Amino acid sequence: MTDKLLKRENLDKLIGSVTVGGGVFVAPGMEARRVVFREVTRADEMTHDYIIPVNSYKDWVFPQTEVIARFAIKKDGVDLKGEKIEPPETVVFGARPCEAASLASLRSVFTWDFIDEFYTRREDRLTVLTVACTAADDECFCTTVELSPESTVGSDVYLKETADGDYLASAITDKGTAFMEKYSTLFEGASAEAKPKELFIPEKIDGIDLDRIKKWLDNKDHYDDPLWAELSRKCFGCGACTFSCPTCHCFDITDEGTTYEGEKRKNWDACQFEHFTLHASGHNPRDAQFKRWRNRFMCKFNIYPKKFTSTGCVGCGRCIRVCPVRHDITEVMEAISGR
Amino acid sequence: MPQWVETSAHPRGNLSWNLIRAMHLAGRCTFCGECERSCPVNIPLNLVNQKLVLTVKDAFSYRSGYDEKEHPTMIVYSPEDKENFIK
Repeated sequence: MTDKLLKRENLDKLIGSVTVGGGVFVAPGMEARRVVFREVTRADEMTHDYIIPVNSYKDWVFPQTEVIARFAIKKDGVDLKGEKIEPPETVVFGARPCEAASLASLRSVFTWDFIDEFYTRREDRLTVLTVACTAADDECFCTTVELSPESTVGSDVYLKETADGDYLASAITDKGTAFMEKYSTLFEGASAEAKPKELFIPEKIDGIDLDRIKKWLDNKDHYDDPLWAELSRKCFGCGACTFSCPTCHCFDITDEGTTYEGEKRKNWDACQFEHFTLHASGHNPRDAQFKRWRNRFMCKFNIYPKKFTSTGCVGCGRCIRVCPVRHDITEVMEAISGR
Repeated sequence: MPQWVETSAHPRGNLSWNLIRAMHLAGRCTFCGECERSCPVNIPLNLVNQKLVLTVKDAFSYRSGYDEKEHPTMIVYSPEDKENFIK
């Protein structure tokens, strides 16, 4: 596949072409002094100077809150109507290669034993335009979990920035090819002079060995190891790590409205909350914060790799950046690798 | 069954949660700013906290966190307490 050139000045036209027909264009922009993924309608609402946005773009395939059904209690029974969604064409621009890989992880869960159409219908309409990293910060650890700025898994179109601020684009999937054909006037033939900037590959953390971690977690004797409580003592369970994580997918179903009429909603939930596993009987199998944290770690590095081929952690480092007590998941990975 | 406080992150849910938080913090919040510092998305929670501190100071001449021997204003009763804020 030969590269095409997407000029920086053509971004405005690209956004316009997508949004004019009711499409949604998601890109990094500044909000409350942070770079976040948000819907934009003009190129000047975007920012190009960022490592990774603070939130994940999973919000556009798995919204924080959405109606899945409506109910009304009538004299002769309950009237329950499922919600049918017709998502708009959605384009994510400026995803990083690590995060692009996370869509496969979400898909594995949402199509595992039940096809969750609220997810799949959105994902079918989503095109991911990844911009490869030319910088990283101390929290980036994609190379430690077998990804890198060069990995194209999950991206539909893979872009590399040039020194002039333009983008060299190559289509990775059929969806990406279709996208570049649809907006072909904006993807020009690239001249030989257009050279991509050098990618920044973060160093792999030496002390971490994913196989060792998985094996250590596999051994049921280690479930009650004092290590868990020691390592997660400072966690106070705010759940920011799960909400910002691109592969976390847990949700809760709740009713809203009056007793007689209302809606069922699917809302983000977090395994870090005490209520998450609280049974109706009052019993809670994860009654301490370290047990909830152990679950988060087990989910990503043991349960996920055993159940699915996709990865549970993509090394984007968001959970480390947002944590108010600086609980670093790579420190735990290192500690367990050393066991 | 519908819940007392909606957990959804829509304006209604967010408003109920924040109002309840504000009501519970009035006269207790010492304005340390830790909630705003730890917020991962920079919500300016201190604006709400400042409003609470000023309201309690005006109504009860009390500032939380200034005198360890004084009881927080919401757990004590005095016949001189103003009532004009009850509407």
